[in-house]
Amino acid sequence: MKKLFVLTIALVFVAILVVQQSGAQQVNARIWTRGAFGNGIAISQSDSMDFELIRIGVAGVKITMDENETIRKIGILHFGEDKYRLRNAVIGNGSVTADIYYNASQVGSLALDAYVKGDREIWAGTLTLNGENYNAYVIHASKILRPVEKARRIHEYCKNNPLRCRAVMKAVGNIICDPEAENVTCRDKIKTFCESNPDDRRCKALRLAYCRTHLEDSTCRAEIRGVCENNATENACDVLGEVYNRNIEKNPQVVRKAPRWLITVRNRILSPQAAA
Amino acid sequence: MKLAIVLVLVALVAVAFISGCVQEGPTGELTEEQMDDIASQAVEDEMGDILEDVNLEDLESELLG
Repeated sequence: MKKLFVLTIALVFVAILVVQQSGAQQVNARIWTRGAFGNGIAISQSDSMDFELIRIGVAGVKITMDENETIRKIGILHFGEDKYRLRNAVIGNGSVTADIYYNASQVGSLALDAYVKGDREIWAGTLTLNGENYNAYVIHASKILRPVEKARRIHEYCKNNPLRCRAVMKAVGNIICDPEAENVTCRDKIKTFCESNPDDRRCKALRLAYCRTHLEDSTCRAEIRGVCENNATENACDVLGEVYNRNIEKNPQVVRKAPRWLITVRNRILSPQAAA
Repeated sequence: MKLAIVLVLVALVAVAFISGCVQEGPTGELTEEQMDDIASQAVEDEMGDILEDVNLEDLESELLG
């Protein structure tokens, strides 16, 4: 009798654990929008020899739990040996702002803009930490997306814009399938095709189309920059040029060593008639 | 002795139940803080993937080409 009682209690214990495990919701976190990522340096505005190495990562992270999805814009700042969390992050087109937190207390804030130097982006701006003001410079570290991530973007674009998705494919060749007529099946087909053939011109065109409307994502800006370095007449270059031009207007001296494609695009934006 | 065994088993059941509630919250949803922790970890992992450790010499050679 006693053994039976103990066994029953033990079984209840095991059953609760099993139920909790089976009922546990699957949580998946994925970087969705890449803001600023890189290593750099912060230099005190009051003493140029007071500087510190910094390392930053700011992103929109998509958290999926069962059917629910939410995007958290958050970041991490390493200032020397100290680590801070970035909250209330705003990832704009070529800009990032955030509040700096240590545990639950706000200890500063930062605001960085993206500038192009050579074939890379440099984040430059100001950082206030524990009452001290710094100028901050961060060399952006580009992420090379895997084919599956590239294809995921195409899938999203075709899901949200089936008509445009079809038009983009048609503009550069035959359509892989008709996203409007076949809907879900076609989107999956395009995704599978582009995952296996990332260099197909239709897949490239679809990625470019997606990126034109996601300029807040640094990997999208890099994708368009890659195109513009070879062909500055591409329409997407003007869209990206506008982004960089807004930052250049705040600090015109930056343009002294801008890459050739950006100077060409900027001239076109600033005086469209002369360029024509 | 018997009472002690019973108490230990009951305590184990209670711990198992409570830990489930603490992990997911009483409604099974994540709290804001938990979501921030998960998101921060994802950013941290990404930083680990794409950023290498640098020292001032590396940074200087990067900046000066």
